[in-house]
Amino acid sequence: MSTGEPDDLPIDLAALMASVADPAHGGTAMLVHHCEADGNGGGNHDAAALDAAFADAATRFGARAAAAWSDAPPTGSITYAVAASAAHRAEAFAACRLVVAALSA
Amino acid sequence: MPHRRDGAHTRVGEAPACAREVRLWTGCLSPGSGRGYAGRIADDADIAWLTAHPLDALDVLGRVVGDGARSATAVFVGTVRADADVREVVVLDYEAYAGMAEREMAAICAEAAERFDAVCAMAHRTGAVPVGQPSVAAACAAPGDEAALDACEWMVDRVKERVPVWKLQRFADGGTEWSQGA
Repeated sequence: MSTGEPDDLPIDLAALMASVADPAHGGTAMLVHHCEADGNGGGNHDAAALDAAFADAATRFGARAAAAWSDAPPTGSITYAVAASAAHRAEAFAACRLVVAALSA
Repeated sequence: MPHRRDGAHTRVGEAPACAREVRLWTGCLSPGSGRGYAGRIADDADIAWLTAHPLDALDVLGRVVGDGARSATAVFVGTVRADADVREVVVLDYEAYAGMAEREMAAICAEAAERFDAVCAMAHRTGAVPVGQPSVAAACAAPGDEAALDACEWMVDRVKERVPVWKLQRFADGGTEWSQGA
């Protein structure tokens, strides 16, 4: 799950949330983006930018984050998803926004 | 970056130094028909409810997914955490003024729907919730990522302010203490 390698399986939201769970974290925020009719949102993502966003989320918000995406999803299916957990809800939302920005840029 | 058409990728950030990995979530998302509140009269019990059973955040999420006009969905899950730095909590016992709590939760969904052009749903636990288990879940589908996250965060903030739910903290040392909110 941590490799970033394609696995030919649909994005598993339960597994994504599980990957950021921590007993010291009281909030988890997740954003799920579905492919629009014009195909907007698919394609490549910058792994370096994503890793930088994870590190930033950990440093600034004490958050743990994970992301999943599909290369060419059919309309209506999940294009990308981001989950972030932190001790408190504000930090979890902030971390989620930060990673979403990196993923959707 | 590995790339293969139609492939799904997952990337997980390093845990902060204090983090301990634990698996809490099971099940899969079952997209519903977008039954949440979107500025129309809906069955409140379908979009805002209390439950004494374990919360499934993806069930709450599934209630707002399915509207093609709203491509982004945000979900927030509040979890009972082990606040060991202060006094170790083992269980939170939630009590709610049931009728009023569900009405207020439905009203928050309605307000968020209007404010953010969103479809919204939420659920709150009652009874004993051990550390690591969800106590509240809120979900919003909106036309964009920011709107979905803004709507979801706005809803959770309003739950904390307005919904008549109280929690009895049960500590590892045997002590207890009441407080309000999720």
